[in-house]
Amino acid sequence: MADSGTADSRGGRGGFGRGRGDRGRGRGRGRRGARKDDDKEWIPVTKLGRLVKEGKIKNIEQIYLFSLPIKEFQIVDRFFGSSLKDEVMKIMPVQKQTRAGQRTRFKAFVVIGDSNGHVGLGVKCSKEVATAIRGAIILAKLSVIPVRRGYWGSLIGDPHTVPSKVTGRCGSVICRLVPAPRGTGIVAAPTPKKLLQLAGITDCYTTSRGSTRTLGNFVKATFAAIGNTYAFLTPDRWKDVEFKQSPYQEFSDILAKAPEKRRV
Amino acid sequence: MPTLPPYHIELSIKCPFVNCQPKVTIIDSTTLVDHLKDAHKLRISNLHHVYLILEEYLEFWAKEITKDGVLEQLSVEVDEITIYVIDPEKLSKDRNIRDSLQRDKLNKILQIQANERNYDSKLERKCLFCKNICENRAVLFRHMFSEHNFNIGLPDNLANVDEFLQILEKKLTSLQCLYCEKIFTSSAVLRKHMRKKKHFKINAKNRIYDRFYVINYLEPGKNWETFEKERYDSDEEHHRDDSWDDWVEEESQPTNCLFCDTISPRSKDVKNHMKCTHGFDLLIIKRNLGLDFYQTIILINYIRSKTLNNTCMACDSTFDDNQHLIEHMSEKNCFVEVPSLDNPLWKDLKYLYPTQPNDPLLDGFEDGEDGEISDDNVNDDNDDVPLHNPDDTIVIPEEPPEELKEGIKQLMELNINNGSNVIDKDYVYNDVNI
Repeated sequence: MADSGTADSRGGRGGFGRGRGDRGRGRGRGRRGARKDDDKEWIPVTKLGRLVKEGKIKNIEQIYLFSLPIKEFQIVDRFFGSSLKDEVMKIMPVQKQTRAGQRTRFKAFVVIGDSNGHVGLGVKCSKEVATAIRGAIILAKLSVIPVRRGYWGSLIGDPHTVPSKVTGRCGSVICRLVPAPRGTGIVAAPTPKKLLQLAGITDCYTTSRGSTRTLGNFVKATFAAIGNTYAFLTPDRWKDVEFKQSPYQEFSDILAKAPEKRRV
Repeated sequence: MPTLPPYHIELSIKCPFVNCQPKVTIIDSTTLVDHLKDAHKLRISNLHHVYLILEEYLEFWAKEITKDGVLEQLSVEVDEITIYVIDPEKLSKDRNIRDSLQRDKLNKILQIQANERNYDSKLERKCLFCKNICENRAVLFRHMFSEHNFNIGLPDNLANVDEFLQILEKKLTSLQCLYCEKIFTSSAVLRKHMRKKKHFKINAKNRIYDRFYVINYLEPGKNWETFEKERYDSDEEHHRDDSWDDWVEEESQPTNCLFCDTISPRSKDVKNHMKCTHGFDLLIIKRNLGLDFYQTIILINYIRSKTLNNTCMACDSTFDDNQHLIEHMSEKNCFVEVPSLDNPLWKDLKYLYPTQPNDPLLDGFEDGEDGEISDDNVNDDNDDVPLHNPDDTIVIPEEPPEELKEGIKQLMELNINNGSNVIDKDYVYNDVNI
């Protein structure tokens, strides 16, 4: 299922990076003394990042409530830590025609999730497989969305299936998720199944239309369907909700203070 | 000892060319070049570009040479004797075969790497240098780097890692330094040497390690050294490259026929098979009976469970084996006799659970002609979203009347007490977490 190790374990360690011992030159990084500190000081560059670093935001749901864009992946790391597991769905070589001939690179498709209501997708291209995977994981973290789960039939225990029939579409592929009774498991093609598992959906039927051979679009369509679980306004949410202040306003005094300068 | 040519590499390959009797095994590249020149009057330009695909490449040319007219296409040079030259820059056939073989090899290597990522790298292994046993590959690499300063790159950039590590282990046990490749008298001396000279790394110039690094398979003729130099040019053109629609892959989902032993590669194919061979058209049945999503699921699971018991789904008669069942069904035309809607099976919840685990037919029956996917969010965000679907409605009244509340309470009790639920279609069965 999900890959071994935590989402940030893929060699972000300084020096423990490229190729094999650069013919002795410039291997200084990481070789002298201690390894370069990995989560060395995150200096946030966005307002949201600063608030998260100071601990003013308690959980990621507060960010989702106001649809604030997350531009720094460390924000997601703060809230989830090691509960986010990543899985590489595919590495494929892609070619590009340039003036200097063809250029081939590796493209990595990654899905990330905590199997409990949050899931994200990322894709990145690069010359080296490890770099592509690392980049894709970062993009996947930035795209994490909440997943709403509901019940089928009796409201006993934890929510286990999608709350209603939802559809998602990408390219020519339409993916539909249908609630299922507890114990059904996930009835889906292998790759979208991984996505649904990492989202924390235990039971679900799926159907799809369109060219499901374009697996990339199929996965994105499933992702869109999962995202629509919170987009669908079910009657239990009709009640008026008291509006709160956005974190930017609530903590405007903290934001007004000059940000920490990055130590050069 | 005479200096070896720059691209010398150890090999172990049998010469595939036709006139070569007996088949000699060639042990290194220099011998190969000489052999090709002497025995077959061939010179392959930039042979070191194709080391990774050497066997397939030589086999291809071994066959090509025997075909008519091919020899004439090759350029000729004279070096004591007449020699034919295979050069990708002059001969597009050569260039094409090199590219396509490389591409195939790359895909194979990526497949191997994917398997390793899912299985091998979760196994434990003992560190190469100390007694530590690391629980999986990521931990192993990290340990070797942090404790012994040993860096052979990230596991994600490698393939056939087990073989790689075995080669290194062999070198260590035969008391050879990994970097300078000198031999020492005992393992203590070897350790001391490696520590003092900081030789806890592999020799970057040794080409036998090339095949373990995936980057070397990217383009023929370019190995990791060229990529290192290329690092800074046009890395910014990334923006368009991160799209999802170039991932095209058919996932094989072998599906069983509902009635006989036939297995088809996709659910679409099995539906066609059932239509043609058994006269069972799922779509038509669905339309005629007006089955909704859940009912179709129930039907499929019902038929599967009946067939497993060699029982006919229509008349419930049991047979000794599948052969007889099929014969009976074709004789009595039972394939079209789907149980009518008042049959208690439609309310039997056990048929909502997949009879066959991982049954691709269950997610493959909704087809283009159906009006059913006239769902909420298909066309998009700004339009008015209907609050329920035409079929399978979510019926949630404003304030449930007393009788309904009672009914729901009873149903809950039934749920808890029996386990076998009888759900009436009119009832709410898509509750949400309130």
